[in-house]
Parts: sequence; structure tokens; C-alpha cells
Amino acid sequence: MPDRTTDEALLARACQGEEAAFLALYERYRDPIYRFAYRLLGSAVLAEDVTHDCFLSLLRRPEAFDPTRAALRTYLYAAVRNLALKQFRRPRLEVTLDDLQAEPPATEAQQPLRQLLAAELSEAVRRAIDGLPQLQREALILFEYEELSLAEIAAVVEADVGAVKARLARARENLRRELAPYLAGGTGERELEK
Amino acid sequence: MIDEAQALKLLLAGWRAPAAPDRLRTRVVASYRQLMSRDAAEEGAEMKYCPSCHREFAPQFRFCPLDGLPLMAAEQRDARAAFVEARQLESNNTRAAVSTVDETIGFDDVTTESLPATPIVAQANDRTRARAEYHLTILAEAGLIARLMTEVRAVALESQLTWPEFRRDPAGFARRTIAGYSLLLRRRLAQENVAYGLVTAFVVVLTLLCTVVAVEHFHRRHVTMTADNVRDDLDYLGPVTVIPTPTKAEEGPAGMADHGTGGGSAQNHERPGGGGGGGDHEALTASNGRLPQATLEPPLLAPNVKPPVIENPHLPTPATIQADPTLFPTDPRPLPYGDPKSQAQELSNGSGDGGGIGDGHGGGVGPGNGTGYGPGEGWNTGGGPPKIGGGGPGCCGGTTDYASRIFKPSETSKRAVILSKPEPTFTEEARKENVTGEVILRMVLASNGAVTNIQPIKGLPAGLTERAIAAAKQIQFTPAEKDGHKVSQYVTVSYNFNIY
Repeated sequence: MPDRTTDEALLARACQGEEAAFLALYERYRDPIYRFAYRLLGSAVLAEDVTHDCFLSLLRRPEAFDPTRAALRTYLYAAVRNLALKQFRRPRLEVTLDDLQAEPPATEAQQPLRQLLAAELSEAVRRAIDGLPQLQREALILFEYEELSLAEIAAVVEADVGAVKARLARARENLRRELAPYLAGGTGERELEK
Repeated sequence: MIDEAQALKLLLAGWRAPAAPDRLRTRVVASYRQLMSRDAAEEGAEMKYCPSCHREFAPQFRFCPLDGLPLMAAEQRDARAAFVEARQLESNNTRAAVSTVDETIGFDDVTTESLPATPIVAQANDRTRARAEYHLTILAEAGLIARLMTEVRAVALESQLTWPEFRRDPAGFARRTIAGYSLLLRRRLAQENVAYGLVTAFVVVLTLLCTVVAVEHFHRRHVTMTADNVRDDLDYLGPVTVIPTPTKAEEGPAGMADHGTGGGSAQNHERPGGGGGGGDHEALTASNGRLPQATLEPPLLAPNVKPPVIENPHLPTPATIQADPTLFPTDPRPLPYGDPKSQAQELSNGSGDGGGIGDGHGGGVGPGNGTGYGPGEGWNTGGGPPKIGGGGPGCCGGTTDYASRIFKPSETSKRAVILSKPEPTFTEEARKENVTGEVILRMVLASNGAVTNIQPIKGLPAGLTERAIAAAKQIQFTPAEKDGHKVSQYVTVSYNFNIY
């Protein structure tokens, strides 16, 4: 049975020291927050750090979250974005073997050739998105992967909806140019079928 | 049919992100527990207060960053407030008499007995009591190093305590610090006699300064007047500068320019070549004089020490030599033409032929053969076949002292050739002592055929060096040559002494 307790109530109880409430909150948002951090930073280790700091900052300064302005999910995305920007200002860390092992394993149903093509495609997409400017990248990840609405993205990145739309359009245009070899044959799926 | 937007969406779906690892959950939960336990501990601790500015500080602080006073707990503050009220009620009359005493000092003196002696309060009491004591001298009982260390420790401690506050709010910290020090200054100035004391000190220092300046001014004026009285006969001409000693221009390959080390008008540094000579079959050697104008064109008129006098010539033609004008600037001296190297004073064109001046041939000046100057052939100067040099003006080349100067082998045009080199013999002493090795000698193969200036560079004992020198004196050789002259040349000769 899904937990119907609101985020605000869970947060209030967590701040009072109720560990179960904090865990419920954590389980509710850990995957999207971690995925967003991972896609922004490109490193599993850094994504772990940012996710950890994000949840802890929620408890250290609970008054910073205003439920009347945005949902907790949006607030957490904005916190991750700010923490990631701090990480970007630091010297970039090398990708370790742990990072590589943290990549999602291929399913058993995938054939070796299919796995190889999927890995290549995934790497190409990752490189193309990684090459986007910061503002375009975060807007695209929030829209395409986290499926936030334009208004929510605008709240996260502290910009208006029009600016978010423009960033998304430019990001898609850049991606089409970067991924043209994979789009030329039709679709990515068709590329994989070949 | 899938349009491009959908195709891009499908492509983007190919990049999958991993799920959050389980270890992250453990880490977050541990941090949550730690945070909660610390918050609980902080809630239990009491806030502290500054007795002077009444600000509130976190429990970990011990001193007020503004006043430097030890912070006190809430019950101590309440006790202090009660004390102040009681004091106001009880000692209204006596307060006027002791109003100059710092309120903090008075309070601390009493709290020594009335309040529980916690370490912080005890420390504050010690400090304030020490401050309240009156000393007849500024010298304290503690040594200089000890007092310095105490101050350094205090500064370090206060910096450590105030650093978190400064980092949290730098602007506010600076503002509060300035306000605190301003308040402190106002309090100090408000004390009785402090302002009078400061003004008096200022006036005294200013008077002293003015006195020193006046005395200095009077002394300087007196010294100036005394100096003027002593030597009226001297005039100031200017500062003494170091008189430069005339230095001889470095010798160039050729020319009479008296400066420079070049070899002519070409751009790259190159030695010139050529020469000239002349004469008129006279018995006397060519006389001393100035050279005519040098030009690269062949001369129309050869120089003559006794030029014929032509009244009102239709086409005045000056005598010239064919040489690089860079090496021979115009000689303005009012002298007849002649050979500048010659010592003869009686006018003579010399014993050569072909016109010109000197002992050579051809229309030039000097012992060479051609229309130039000096030993050499063709034209120009420098010796050997004619050639335009480069690198700017040169000097002294025409006055090379071939007889007395000793040349290096590389400076000669033909090196000395050793015809025979007798080997030295062993001495008996060296034979007995089995002395073997090499003796290296540096010597001069002089232009007159003699071996001179023998200097051992590497010697051997037992008289072998002397034997080598004796053998070197018997060397026979053909002297080196430069510009057709026999010259002296340095050589290095080695003798091996081996016993087989």
C-alpha cells in the first residue's frame, strides 16, 4: 500500500528526529535525485556525494523549503543543481573503476552484439549531452529524463518558462547535429536493429 | 514513420542511469543520526552572554569577539543584573565618588565573593583585578618574552574564537568590531583627565618636534655661513665626475678611422684585403703626411708629396687612393700627402715607381703593389688580394707593428715551419729515479729566426725541463709571415721523456 503521507508532514517528523519519516522521504526521492545528479555530473561517486548532501541540507535548513512556492521534489532538484554547480567549480575528478562498475548492467535477454551496440549508443548519447552547455544540459535532463514540466524546470533552474523552452530547443538542435550519424539511418532503434 | 523528434527521444532513452546504490542509504542514515544527536546536545546547552555588550553567543564560545571579555552563563547574567540593581539602590551617594571606576571592574570585584567561582568567572576576575591594580611603573614583574608570549597566545585564542563569527558574516563582524572599538574609545575619553592628558601629551610632543626642527634649521644655517666664511675664494663649479681615461681604440683589421673593429662598408663583418704602393724613384724614403681622399673608383691622379702648381685649372682633380672610404675618413690636417706610417720628415715620394708615395709599385701609398694603401695587391687595404671588407670602420690596421708584435698562429697568413727539432737528452739523475713524462713548452719563433720567450707549461723534475728548454733553443724554423712580412709567432712544443 503506497504511503499517502505528504512530503511536508514527513519532513516535519524527520526534523523532529523520527528516522522512519526520514527514510520514507529518502526512499521516495532517492532514485530520481541520484539519477539527476549522475546525469549532471557524469560520475557515480560525485552523484552519491551530491545526493547525500542534498538530503542532509533538507534537515539542516528545513526552513529553506517553502511548500507554498514549490513541491519538495522541485526543491530537491534545485538543491541538486546547486550542489552540482559547486562540484563543477572544483577540479573535475577522474572517473574511477568504481564509476564504471556502477553503470547499469546489461540484462540477460540482451545478446552480446546488441549489448555492444547499446553500450556504444549510450556512450554516444552521454558524450553528446555532456558536451552541451550547462544550462542546456540541465534543462534537457530535467525534461527528457526526469519528465518535469516546463514550469517545474523553470522553478528549478530559476528562469522563466520561455528561457527554458529556448534552452531545450537549442539543446535538441545541438544533439541532432552531434547524433546525426545515429539519426541518419532512421531511428536509434533501427540502428540497433541493424 | 517516426519523425525526427521521436527518433531523438528514442536515442536519448538509450542512456540509462544507474539506481542509487544501497551503501548510499546507509551513509545518509548515519549522517541523519549524527545530525539529530548533535542537535539534541545543542538544545540542552545554554547560551552564553557578554557582560559588556549583552550579546548572545553559542555555548562553544568563551569570549566576546567585540569586547574580549569572558562570556557568562544565564544565571551569572541574572546575578549580575540583580547586583547592579541592588547597587543602584544602596550606593547612590557613593556612586558619584566612584563613578570613574569602570563598571565591569566594580562588578567583578564583588562577584569574586558573591558568585560561584567557575573557571571562566575566576579567569575574568583575575584579568579585571590585574587591570584594576595601580602600578607606579609601566614595567611589569614578568619578563618581556613571557609577556610577549601571553599576548600572542591571547591574540591566537581570540582569533580562533572569532573566526567562525567572521566567516559567517564578515560585513556584520567588521561593523560590530568598529562599533565596539568606537564605544571603547568613547568610554576611555569620557574618563576624567584622559582628554586633558591626551591634549597635554600632544602639545608636549608637538613642542618637542618643533624644537628639534628649529635647532636643526639653525645648525644647518650656521654651518653654511661658516663654510662661506672659510673659503671665499672658491666657486662652486659643479659636482665632481669621474674623468674618463682615454682608451686606445681596439685594433681592427685595417684602416685609419681611429675607431671601430670593422673591416669596411659591407654589412657582414669581413676582413678587407688589398693594398697599394708607389714612389717616384727617389733616394729618400717616403715622407710622413696625410693620405688623400679614399674612393672605390680608380684614381685619376696619384698622390704626390710635391704636387705641381697649376694656376687656374680648368678641371680641378684631387689626388685619391682606391680604397674603402669607410676605413679612411677624410684627414683634415694641413699636411702634404704622405705615408702616415713613415717617420721621415723630408718631403719625398719614396723609392717606388708608378707614381704615388712609398716603396711599392703602382700609384697608391705604401709598400704594396697597387692603387690602395699599405702592403698587399691591387687596391683597398689589409694585405693580400684586393677585397671589400665589412662590419664598419676599423683602425690601426695600417700601422701594424710586424717587427715587435707576436702573433697567434691563426693571425698569420703563413705559419712558421719547424725545419729541425733536436730531441733532449736524459739527465743522470732522472735516469736513476726513473722519471718519465712530458714537458710542454710555449715559445716564440721570432721573425729573426731565434727561439725566445720559452715558458714551461708542464715540467718534469730532475733537470728534464731544463734539458727540454735547451733543446728548444736549437729549433730551426722558417718564420711566420703576415701580409708579406716575417713576424713572430707563438708555438707550443712538447718533449717526451721515456725510458725504454
